[in-house]
Amino acid sequence: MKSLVIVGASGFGREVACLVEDINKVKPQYNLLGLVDDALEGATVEGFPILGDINYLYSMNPKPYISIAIANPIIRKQLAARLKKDFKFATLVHPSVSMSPYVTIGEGSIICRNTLFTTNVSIGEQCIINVNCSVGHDTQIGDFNSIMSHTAIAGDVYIGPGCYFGLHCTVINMISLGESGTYGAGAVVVNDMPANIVAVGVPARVVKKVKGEA
Amino acid sequence: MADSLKPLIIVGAGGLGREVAWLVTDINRQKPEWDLINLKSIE
Repeated sequence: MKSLVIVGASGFGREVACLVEDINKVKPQYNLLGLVDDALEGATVEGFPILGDINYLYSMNPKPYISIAIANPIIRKQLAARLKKDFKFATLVHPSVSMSPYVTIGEGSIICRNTLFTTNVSIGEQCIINVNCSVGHDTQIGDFNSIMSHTAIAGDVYIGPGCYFGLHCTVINMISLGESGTYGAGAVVVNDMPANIVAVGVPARVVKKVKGEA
Repeated sequence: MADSLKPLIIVGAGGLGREVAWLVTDINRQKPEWDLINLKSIE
């Protein structure tokens, strides 16, 4: 059994705690010690203990595996950079996830219930793929993507790192999306998209450009 | 029995053809039914 602490104790962190319980029901793999959060303390409504703030992790011996359960890609990337020297990241895949043997999932990624990957799909490191998403053949999803529930991504799609897809987005086949794009709920993406944009609507149109990382 | 399997060729070896190959292996895991011989490209 690997000891595990979830970083982030708000909504998604608690969902990940439940995901870990589901993994353990099939085969005990993780000893979930609790969650850490810089803003919350005590316990979650489900009763999972909030052990302390993020610095509490450094006092733990032996060092646990961690899972960063924060949907914002920028914050997740900063935390991963800060924590990777000292901690190993758990890769968490819900037992109901359906995928062929030809799928790779990067370290630290969290794949939630009923998501489906077909064949030759690659998911980067530290991605969050929420419930009921589907990803088609030959699609590559870069590191630090956050993909919310019911998003459907077709085949032969390239998605750069650090994008955020709201609920129920659709991405058609054979297009390429630049890094750090934000796609509003329900967006239907039918064209290549540049990096560092916000796009919404059907078909998705760029409504805002944002500053890229320095 | 291997010889009771039905031989199968998938026509089209692009993305969907490979997804169908995965589907066939899923079917066979439940109950062996298809002998997947090959994917045949129509290019």
